[in-house]
Amino acid sequence: MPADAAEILDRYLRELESQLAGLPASDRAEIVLEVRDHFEEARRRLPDPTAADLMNILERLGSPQAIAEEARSRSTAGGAPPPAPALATPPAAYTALEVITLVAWVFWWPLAVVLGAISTRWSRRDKAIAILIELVLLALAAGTVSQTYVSSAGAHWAFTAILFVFPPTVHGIFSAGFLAWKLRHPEPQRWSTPWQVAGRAALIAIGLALVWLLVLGPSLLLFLHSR
Amino acid sequence: MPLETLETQLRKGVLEYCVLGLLEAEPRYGFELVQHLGQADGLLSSEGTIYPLLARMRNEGLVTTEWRESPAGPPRRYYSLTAAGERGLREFRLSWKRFREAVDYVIAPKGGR
Repeated sequence: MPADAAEILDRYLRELESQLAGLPASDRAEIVLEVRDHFEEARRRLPDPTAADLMNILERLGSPQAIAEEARSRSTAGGAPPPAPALATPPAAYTALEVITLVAWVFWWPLAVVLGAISTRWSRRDKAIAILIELVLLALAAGTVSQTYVSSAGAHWAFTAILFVFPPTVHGIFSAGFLAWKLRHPEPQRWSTPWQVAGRAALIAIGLALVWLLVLGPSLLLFLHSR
Repeated sequence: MPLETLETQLRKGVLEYCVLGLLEAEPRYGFELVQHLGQADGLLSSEGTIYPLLARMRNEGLVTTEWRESPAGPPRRYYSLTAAGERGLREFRLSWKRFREAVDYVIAPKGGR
């Protein structure tokens, strides 16, 4: 697509996003995503679209204001929220809860899991991924330690406990980083069914690896050493 | 009330049920819905306004969505009717018929000679 047209689409979507301020984040993301997909679909159907053709697609979509007005008048959230000012800053993607959760990840991650569960700004999937990142780190650390120092029985669990249970749990910074990134990019992932299957398979594989690294592997080593 | 305003309001009121009607036979994606509504003259003024409506209908449990592969290009979000959506459509058909017949009856040209 011509560079200036790409920019026009970009500006259109940004304007739409800011006009939609006041609606639930998930609705906002969904509407923007659908409008963008609509544009792409219309573009794909043109043999050789010119910039004027692309402008025409946007014109037919209607102004961002018209779409946002429709969204507000159709909102089920009761009374219409105040209309967004023309040059609205993007709506706050987070509250104090999210900030505290991110800090908690680096301070004491079990607390962060609880706080994160309360927050509605992350999807369940994102929360699960953050916890998974933490568990993978835990498994990697514990696995490495087992294989290096396990000759002293209990050292494995002691080290793991110190590293992962006592604050500050600095390694939580990776999960915190992921969640912070998700706050900035709340668009839903577009996973179609084959990808979902692959994703679940990967989760199961990681789960099995965790069980091995955290439980079976160390137990086996401890058992061998005790003989 | 100017006819134009009236039409806008009527359109707004029935659009949701037109969407339900389009989804009755098979699931469709947004662009497809817009095309069909566009063929029925005057049902959709700004194409983009269908998306807030679809989002609301999904929140209300009238439709459900699902990503499906497309033969060319990225996956598409398909909308399909839920049981509540089917019920809504059935009820609307009845009340629309009653409404149309009542209005037709009242405004039918009278007299003649």
